Amino acid sequence: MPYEIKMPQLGMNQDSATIVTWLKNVGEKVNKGDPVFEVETDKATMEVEAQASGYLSAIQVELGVEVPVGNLIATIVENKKDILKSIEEPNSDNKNQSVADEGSKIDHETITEKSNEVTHEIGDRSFKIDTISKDLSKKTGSSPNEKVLASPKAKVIAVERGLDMRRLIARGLNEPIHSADIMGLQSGEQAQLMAVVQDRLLLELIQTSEDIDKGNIFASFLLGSWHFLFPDKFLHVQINKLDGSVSLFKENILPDEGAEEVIVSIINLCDTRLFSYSSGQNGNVLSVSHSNDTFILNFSFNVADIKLQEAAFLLNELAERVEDPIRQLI
Amino acid sequence: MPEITLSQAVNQAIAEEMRRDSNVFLIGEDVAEAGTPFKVTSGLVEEFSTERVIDTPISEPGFMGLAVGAAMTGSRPIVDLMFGDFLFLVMDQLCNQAAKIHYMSGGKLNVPLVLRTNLGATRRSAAQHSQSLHALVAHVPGLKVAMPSSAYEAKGLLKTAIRDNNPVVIFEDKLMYQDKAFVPDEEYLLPFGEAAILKEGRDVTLIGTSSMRQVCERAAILLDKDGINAEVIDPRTIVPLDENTILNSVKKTSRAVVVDEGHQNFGTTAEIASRISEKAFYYLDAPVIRMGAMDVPIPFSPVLEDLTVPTAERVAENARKIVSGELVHAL
Repeated sequence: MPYEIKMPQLGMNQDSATIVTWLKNVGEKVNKGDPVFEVETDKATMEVEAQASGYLSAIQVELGVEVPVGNLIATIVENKKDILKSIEEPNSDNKNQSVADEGSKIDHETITEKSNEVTHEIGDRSFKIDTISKDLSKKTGSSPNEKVLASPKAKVIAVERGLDMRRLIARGLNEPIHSADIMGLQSGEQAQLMAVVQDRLLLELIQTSEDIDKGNIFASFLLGSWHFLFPDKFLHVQINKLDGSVSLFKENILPDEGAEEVIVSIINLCDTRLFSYSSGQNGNVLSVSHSNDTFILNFSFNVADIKLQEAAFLLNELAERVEDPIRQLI
Repeated sequence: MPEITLSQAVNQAIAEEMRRDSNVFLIGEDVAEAGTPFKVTSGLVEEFSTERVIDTPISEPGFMGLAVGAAMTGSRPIVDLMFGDFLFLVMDQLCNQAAKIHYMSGGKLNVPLVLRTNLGATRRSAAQHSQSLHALVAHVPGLKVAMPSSAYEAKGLLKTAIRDNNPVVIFEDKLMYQDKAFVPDEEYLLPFGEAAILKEGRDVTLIGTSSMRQVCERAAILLDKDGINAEVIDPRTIVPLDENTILNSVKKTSRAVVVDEGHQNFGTTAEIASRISEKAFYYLDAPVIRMGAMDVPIPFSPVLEDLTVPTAERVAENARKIVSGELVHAL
């Protein structure tokens, strides 16, 4: 009969312990009194000695697993041929798998090695798949699991206005996103208006002075029209260039604190073949192009900023000023 | 309205309350003829005699225990603790006894005691006479903690403290004793748990206790030059703390810098910052910044000592960072 090593009770209130080190290997000769393994309880770590001599066999528990007191841990067998490799039922039926036979022992080890290789390959492959999916998510710029770096307030505003921050980042907004970055963005609908205006009088005016920049003239006309129609609301006109640079039009008036403000970008396309320019973002953009003796004014705007009727009056007023620049002076 | 020093304001408050209530008396080291090293209690012994202005030996635990007993039996002692650093000597009398007697007696006993002491570095007094230990007592339930930021607050808060039926620890900044402020002629009291908004602003809230209020006010002027509009708040008392004023301000500005002269670790700044983070989280547009004294013994070397405490320049610099939206993990 093999001697059964059970989890000893090492303290008054101890009902389980964890084996942290094996001091003997399976198959190794053990003398009564030799320390066989080290256990850790909630209070201390101590060595457990063999209560019988023989060969260590049939280890039942894994390192680091908590084992209740009295549970079978391993056995000590008298004869070498009775040694059982490891976590296997120590019943007599399994004695055929004894590793006493050198040949079968080697087989066993080879199999283990092979299975390790397979696991490793699977591991490698899964790692590769992982990398690919990560690369993909980088290319598309959005992975649903990727956290957006934004302040709590910015996140609240985004939720309130139905803005998708990942999309905003894809459009070029830099992280971390703060409330100021998204305050101006509205989820409101975009609308578009277009006007076609005779160029004769304005061109005559421009020819009188070589320094006049068309972008500035339109900005000035826009501001004039705005203040004429909406004296209580403040308009900031910024001038966009095709190279992406933006400058604030210098004749802008600073608003009173708390007053309603609207930003309109002007882009001058007169010397290009472009006809309209809209970023697709929720901004207000006025593009001005020129062809066949006419200026074409294209106004794309957010209805949350400027109502459709207001915008229609505004563009009409602007068109009249472009057609007859004297109006600007009145 | 006359302009008086903080030390005169404290003197007036004590004298007025001693005249008003004969149970009030003053006790401590060098409070009588010497008038304390800061000349705060000068002249009081002439008016109230050594019966009510009592000089003690160098025995902080002794006279503190004596005052706790006197307070339990009907007197209203004002204890003068020469340096805030000596709080460590009276911890049992203050925190185990005074703070808990009302509770332990089932509400039968009160301890109407005021412990006046000080805080503040940069007086070249070295590590054992430069600490700001208010967070230590603010941690103990049963004690109120007032931190006057000018002569006006010093007088109004001290008079409230003397009339309070609970133990109050009041910390004056020892560098501010000669600083002047306008104080009303007529009698006034400042309620506990009501913060003062000293400057309104919309971009960032600067919260400064005691002399750090002045640091915040100077920082706000520096920030104004950069177009940053800072709001400045002085909590006046940290126990009780006027949470609403602070939270309402941060909800408006979305940003906060909390400035206090106690050590930063586990300090007053940590308490205020965490309340903001808990209760105004969804209004925040930047991390709440804490600025306390460096977590080192206050050095004697003037050059080093000046580096350990928050300055207006450093407060402004941190405020600029969070207003500009810089990615801030820790400053």
